[in-house]
Amino acid sequence: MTDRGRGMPTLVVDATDPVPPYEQLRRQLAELVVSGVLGPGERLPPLRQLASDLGLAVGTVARTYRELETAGLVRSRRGGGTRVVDEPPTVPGDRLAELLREHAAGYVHRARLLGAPDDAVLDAVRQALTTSWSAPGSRGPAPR
Amino acid sequence: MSLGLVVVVAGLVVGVGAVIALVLALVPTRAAGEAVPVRVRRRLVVWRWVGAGLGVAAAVTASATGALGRGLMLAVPLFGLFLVLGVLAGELSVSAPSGPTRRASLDPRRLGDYLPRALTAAVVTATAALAGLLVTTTLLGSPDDLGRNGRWLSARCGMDGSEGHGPWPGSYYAVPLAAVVILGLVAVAVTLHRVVRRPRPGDPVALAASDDLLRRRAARVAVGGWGVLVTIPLVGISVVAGAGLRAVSCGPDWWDTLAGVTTALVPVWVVVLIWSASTVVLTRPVVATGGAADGSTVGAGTSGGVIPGAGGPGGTGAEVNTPGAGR
Repeated sequence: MTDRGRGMPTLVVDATDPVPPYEQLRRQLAELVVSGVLGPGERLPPLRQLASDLGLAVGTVARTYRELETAGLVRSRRGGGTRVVDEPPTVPGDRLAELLREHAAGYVHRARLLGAPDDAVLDAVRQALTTSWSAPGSRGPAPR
Repeated sequence: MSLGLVVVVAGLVVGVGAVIALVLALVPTRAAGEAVPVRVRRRLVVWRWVGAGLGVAAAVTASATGALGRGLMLAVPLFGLFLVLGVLAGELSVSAPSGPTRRASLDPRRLGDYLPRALTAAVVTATAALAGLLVTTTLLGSPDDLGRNGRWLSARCGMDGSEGHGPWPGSYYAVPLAAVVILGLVAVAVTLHRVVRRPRPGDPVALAASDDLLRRRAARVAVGGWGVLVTIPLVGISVVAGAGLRAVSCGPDWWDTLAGVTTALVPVWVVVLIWSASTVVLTRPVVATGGAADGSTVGAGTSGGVIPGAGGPGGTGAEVNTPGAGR
């Protein structure tokens, strides 16, 4: 089973975060669907598996899946599990630059608060580009 | 086959098995990523041994106390049942994460990923054969001379004569055996469910490979225990039933056919028995190669979410495991 988990996302729940766990999960899963990391028809883990892995109540994960279904991101079928819908919403192409600027501004703001010099800020971005995952359609990490 | 020959063959099988087990113990299975924590692996092994120990105790007790061979018949199935329960206890000992930060992979785990398919098919077949045989022997059984129902096989010969043979594996033996087998099946089902559903004992990416090996091993032992539980009585009842059907000379013709089939299948069930037992006994230690299991894990949500409107909570977010990175 050494190839299981390859390229599959990992969800993180912070129990100390004031945001309730179901909402933390909902946001992460919504991001993964909208960004295309979870492709159309891809199956989400069963409720009980995710609840067990995260130490959460099954009802908490069920609420997350319900809200994702209400938002039109996933569909649940009896016996067929929960899957990403066939045509999930995506990021509009004309908004890409705008979104990148928003995220870059947020990152730079945090880096400045840490007192990081500009070179270190840029180095961190370059390093992230070489080690980060590549979303579908992107050029992906530079070859090493 | 004389008793001496049986002992020699059994000793040979055990000896060869011990040598193979020793060799396999020296040839570890390599798993990418980190190893499952020692305390978790130790608990899994300890519970398995506790189950095996209790199984031996139950088998000895049953064989010493059961009357008219019933205890002897139930001894090995009880061992198999407790072995499976030991696996279940080990899997239950892996507790859910309780720290402030918890991670989970989105990769769905399926029973088919861990189940030994060929062995499972063989054991399911043996179980169906045992069920069919027990129903048949129960329907054919009649009370013995002391009125114990289902311990005698009799056939009417001519107008006013009859012929019989015993002991016969009818309801007197089939009912308690069926009860143990059903308990065993329930235990196996619950164990396999737990093998798939239990949480990962640590980082879901780094531990994935070695944890999956442990789950696969647990499933193999559970199915192997199920196989032992079923095939030992299947072999015994096939031999006794075949001999009983042949011993009654005036039974219907299909009794001879049934006797031939049950006897002919005995070697098949013996093979399934050896296969099951070897799956329980022969295991290889897991050695983690260290480093990233499938690549690096990179946080994506620390800036408040990638996609506006879907944004993640501060400080948490989906992380994506990158194939090939970090190697």
